[in-house]
Amino acid sequence: MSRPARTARARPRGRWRRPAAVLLSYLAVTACAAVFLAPILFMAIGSLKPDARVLAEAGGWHAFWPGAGAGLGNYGDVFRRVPFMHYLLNSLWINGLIVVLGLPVNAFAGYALARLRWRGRELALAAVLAILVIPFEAIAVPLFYELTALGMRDSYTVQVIPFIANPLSIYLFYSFFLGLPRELEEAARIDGAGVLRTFLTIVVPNAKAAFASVTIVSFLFYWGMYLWPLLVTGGPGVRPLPLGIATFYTLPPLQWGDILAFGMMMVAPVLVVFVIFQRWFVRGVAATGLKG
Amino acid sequence: MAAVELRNLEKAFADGTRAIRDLTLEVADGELLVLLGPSGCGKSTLLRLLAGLEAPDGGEIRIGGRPVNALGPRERNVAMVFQNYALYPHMSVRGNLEFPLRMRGMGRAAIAERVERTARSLGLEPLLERRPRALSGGQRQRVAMGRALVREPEVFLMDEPLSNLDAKLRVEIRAEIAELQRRLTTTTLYVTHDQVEAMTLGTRVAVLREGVLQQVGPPQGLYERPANLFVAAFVGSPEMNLFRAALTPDGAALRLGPTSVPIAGPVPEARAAFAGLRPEAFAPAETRPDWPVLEVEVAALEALGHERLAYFRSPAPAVDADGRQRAGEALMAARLPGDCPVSARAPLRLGVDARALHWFDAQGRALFA
Repeated sequence: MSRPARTARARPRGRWRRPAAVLLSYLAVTACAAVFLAPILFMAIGSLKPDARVLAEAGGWHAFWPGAGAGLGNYGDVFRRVPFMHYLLNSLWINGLIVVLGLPVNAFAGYALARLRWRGRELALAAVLAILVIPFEAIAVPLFYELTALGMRDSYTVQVIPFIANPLSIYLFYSFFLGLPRELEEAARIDGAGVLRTFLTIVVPNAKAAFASVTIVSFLFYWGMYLWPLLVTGGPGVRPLPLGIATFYTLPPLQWGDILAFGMMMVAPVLVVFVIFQRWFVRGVAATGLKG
Repeated sequence: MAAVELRNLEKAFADGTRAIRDLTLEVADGELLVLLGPSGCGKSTLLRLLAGLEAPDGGEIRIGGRPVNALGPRERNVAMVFQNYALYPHMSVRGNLEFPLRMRGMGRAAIAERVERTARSLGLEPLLERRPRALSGGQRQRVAMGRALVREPEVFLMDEPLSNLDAKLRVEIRAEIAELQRRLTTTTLYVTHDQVEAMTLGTRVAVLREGVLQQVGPPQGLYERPANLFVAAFVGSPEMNLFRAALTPDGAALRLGPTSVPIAGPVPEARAAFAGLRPEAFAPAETRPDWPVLEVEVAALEALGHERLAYFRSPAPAVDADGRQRAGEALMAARLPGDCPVSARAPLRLGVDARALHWFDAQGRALFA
C-alpha cells in the first residue's frame, strides 16, 4: 500500500531534477563547443563580409553576424589575386601521396612491431616512441640540409618523402594490431596462409578503423604545414595551400576578407576527408562479431 | 589420418615459466584424446606446439610418423578449433569455409563441392551467406568446426571449443562432436578443463599439471585408479575426500576419527601416507549393515533430486592435492540416494566401504594403483 504513495512523492522531485541536470550538462557542453566553434564561425562569416567590416567588427558579437552587404565577393577575389586552384591541387597531390604511400608503409611497420618476432624489435619500438615526442620543427633544419644535399629541393618529392613514414601512424597501427584477436591470424596460419597473406587477407580487412584514423591523421599532418614547404620550395610551382595564404601578406592592400575566404576553402577538403572516414574512425573491433 | 607422437617435449616461455616439462605422449590414429587440467597447466600450449604456433625448446613431435618440429603450421596438415572460434569476421560463412581450401590452391569447382558437402553435414546450408556476427554462439561453433573439417586434415586440435556456450547447448554440441569424431575417425586432441567433457568425450584422457603429464588412460580408469593425489582430487565431483592415513597399531585398520575401518584387500605398506574415499564410498548405515559405521553431523546438504550430497566435518586430517593439510575446518562429502532422510545440522550414521579406499605414499603417488 505504501509503495505507490512513495513513488508519487518521489516523482515530481525526480521529474524536476533530471531535466535540470540534463540542462546544465547541455549548457556546459554548448559552452565548450562554442569555444572551439567561434574561430571557425568567425572565419565563415568574416569571409562573407566586405573587407572594411571584418576587423572593425572583430571585437563584438557583430563578428558573428553577416549584416548588410554580405556576399561571395571575397571568394571571387581569392581566385583573381592568387592561383588558388594551383595551390589546392598541389596540396591535394602532396597529401594524397603522403596518405597513399604512407598507409602501406606504416601499416607494415606497425604490424611488424605488434606481431612479428625479430631481433631489435623492442629497440625499434622505443625509437618510434622517441621520435613521436620530438617536434618536427626540431629536425626540420638538419632534414633540410640532408635533402638539399640529395638535390631534392623545390619538388613534390621533398615534400612527400619525409612524411611517408610517420611515427604517429606507426604507433596507431601498432596499438590497433595489438588489440586484434591473435587467434584470427593463428587460424589463418593454420589454414595455410603465410605472413603476408595473413596480413593482407585477414588483418587489413579487419583494421578499417585503424586505416581511417591514420588517413585522417596523416592527411592533416601536412595539410597545415608551413615551415617545411617554406624551407624547401622556392616558387609557387610546387607550393601547397599554407604558403598560398601567406602570399596575401605580400600583396598590398591587406584584405582580411580574402584571407578568411581562402581559409574557408582550405578547411573544406579536410572536412570532406573527415566526413568520409569518420564512420570507421569511431568503429571499434568490438563490432566484428568475434566473441559470443 | 595419422598418429601423433610427442617425445620428451619441453617448452619454456620468455619469463622462465616451464609450460611443458619432458612430456611424452602417443595418440593413436583415429583416437580422441582429451587433455584435461586446470587453467595454466600447459594443455593449450601443448596444442599450440602441435599446431606449429609455438616452437618447442626440446623433444620431438611426429604426426603420421613424420617429424614436424621444423615445419610451419601450414605444412602440418592439422586443423584447430579455437575457444573463441576465430571466425574471420569480414567473410561470410561460405568465405570462412572456403578460405583454407583457397590457401591450398584447390580449384573453384572442388572448393564449391567440398564446402557444400561440409555445410550439409553440419546443417550450415541456410547460414552460408551470413557473416559471423549474425550467428548465435552455437552456430559460430558449428562454423568453426566446419572450417576445421572442410580441409579433411590429418589431426583435429580443439581448444576448449565449448566453453563459450551455455550449459544446454554444450551438452548438445558435445554429443555432436563425439558423433562426428566417431564417423570421421580423425585423430583428435581436445583440450578442456571441464571433467564432464573429458569423461564423456575421450577414448583416453591425459591429465596435466604445471606442464607435467600426471596420468593417461580411459576416463573410467582415471576415476577408479588415480595415479596420484592430484588426479584423485581433480577427477570426480565432488572431489575425492583425501586425508592423512593413520593406521591402528596392528596395521589392519584405518582410523577415521573414532571409527576403525578394517582394511580390505592388500594391507598397505608402511609407505601409505594418505588415503582417499570417493563420496560414493559412503552409504546410509542402515542400508549397509556389514560396513563400519561413522557417526557424523551434517554441516551442509545439497539436494540434487536424484542424489543428496551431505558434507560433514572430516574425521581425519584432510589434505589437498599436494598432501598439505587443509586449513580451517575441512569437510568431507558423502553421496547419498535422493530419498535418503537426512537434514542439515542433524546427526547421520554413515557406512564406509573399506574396499573403496585409495592409498597414496608420502610423495602423493598411488599405492596398488
